[in-house]
Amino acid sequence: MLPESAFVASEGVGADDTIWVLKNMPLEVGKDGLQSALLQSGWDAVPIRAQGPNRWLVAAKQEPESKHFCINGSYVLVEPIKRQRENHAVTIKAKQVKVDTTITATPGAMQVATSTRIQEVKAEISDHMEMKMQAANQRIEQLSCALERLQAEPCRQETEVKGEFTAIKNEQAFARQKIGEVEASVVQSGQTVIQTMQQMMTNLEANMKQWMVKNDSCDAKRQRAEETPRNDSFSIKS
Amino acid sequence: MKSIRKDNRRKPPSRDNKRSQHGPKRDEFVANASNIVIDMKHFKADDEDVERLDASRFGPDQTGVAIMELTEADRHVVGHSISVAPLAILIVGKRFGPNDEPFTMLARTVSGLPIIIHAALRQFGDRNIDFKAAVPVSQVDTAASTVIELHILRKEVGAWKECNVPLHYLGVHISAVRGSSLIATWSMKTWSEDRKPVPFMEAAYWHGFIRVPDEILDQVLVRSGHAGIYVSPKDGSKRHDERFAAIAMPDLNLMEIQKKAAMRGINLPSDAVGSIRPASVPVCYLNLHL
Repeated sequence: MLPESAFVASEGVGADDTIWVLKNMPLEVGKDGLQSALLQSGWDAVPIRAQGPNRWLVAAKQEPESKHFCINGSYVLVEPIKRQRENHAVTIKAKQVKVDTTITATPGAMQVATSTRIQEVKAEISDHMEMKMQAANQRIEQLSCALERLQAEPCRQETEVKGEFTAIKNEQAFARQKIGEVEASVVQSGQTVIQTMQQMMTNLEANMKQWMVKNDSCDAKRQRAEETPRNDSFSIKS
Repeated sequence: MKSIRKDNRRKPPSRDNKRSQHGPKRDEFVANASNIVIDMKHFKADDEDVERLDASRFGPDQTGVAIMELTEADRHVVGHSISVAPLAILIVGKRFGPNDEPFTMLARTVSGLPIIIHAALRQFGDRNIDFKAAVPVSQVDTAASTVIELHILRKEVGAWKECNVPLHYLGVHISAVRGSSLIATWSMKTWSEDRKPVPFMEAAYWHGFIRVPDEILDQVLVRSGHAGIYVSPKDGSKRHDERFAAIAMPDLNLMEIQKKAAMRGINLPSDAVGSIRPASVPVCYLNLHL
């Protein structure tokens, strides 16, 4: 800060401090007045800076007992400020830098580690290379996994196809066997029917012959009877 | 020149103006019986605590404070007591009756944010209920101070880089504000000619506000117009501070104004001359309270 600079003295904010905004502050109350008012109110808070004509930022470790204050007859509102840091967690990764060191034993039985800039650069490069190698190894591992998957996939598919083919074959054989059985049974049934029919025809023919023979003898008797007229008193004589 | 003056006359960006152009204020909160939480410890009847009374139970021989809006409160006839116990209606909202005496009181939104609302009490009991804010009260010494609107115009600054830290530039050219004389500063930002916030190196001017104690106010005002720094005193309503009259003298420079005043026998204080933006013409800041 140069001697001719103007500035508004502001207190530092602790890491565990919460920032609060005081709204509706009386216009005539400055920083010292606000500090005094906060003390009187029993809140251990420190004014940081003004945010407007009637707004002040304060930092405090604890919450105020009341979210309202009355300073010089004006009601002041106390609201916490939502820090963006709280909303978005930041992950910081520590980076380990390897430095090649040469351990040399000194005459006083002390070991001193020495390193030159070149060694540091080498170490940085090797670190960089190691990172690259790690990345490459990871990539290779990923690719080999993918390749294994690719190789395994056709085998699995082939096995599946073989299995399905065998099942189809079995089903086909079973169906063929069934069809043979059905054919045999149909043929047998047909033969049985034919035999039965033939037997029936034979029987029928024999019966017919027998019946016709009987009929012929009856006809002969009837003709003989017709040839000799009967003495019928009621018949009309011509 | 005319166009430049016209541009210069424009006010700096104001959120309130934008809001008024595009509808109601975003943070405008209208209290009603359901969207606020009122701590009943603020209400006393002869130093006795008072309970909240549900508005639907308000009636004869009841006790407590019922919170209602004007329309609902007007259904109950005022003028005579209906309970020997303390009984009152607290009217909240934007409208009050002609005989109501609104006061500001403390409340919270349902989300827990503290707010200040306007309310009025209508008494219906033999004993009155009063509002006494039960909050930490403090009384502190105050120093008279004034808010000053500040412009630093790039085209009138020799080396813009010197303005990188505006308070430093201010201290260099206004000795009265050096050190920790300033009470507060806020909204110090760099703007382009077309009134957009831009990075410092592309900016046309700095704009912001400083609060200075009244002891050095005249010393600050008199430096207005020097080295591209223009200041304008404001009151609590963000308007021009009525304690000071800004008299435009467009055809004269600062020295000429003082000479002319002396020639005419006007007892012009030597520190009562400055230059004001937006007119960018010499003005005479007359402290009307001198």
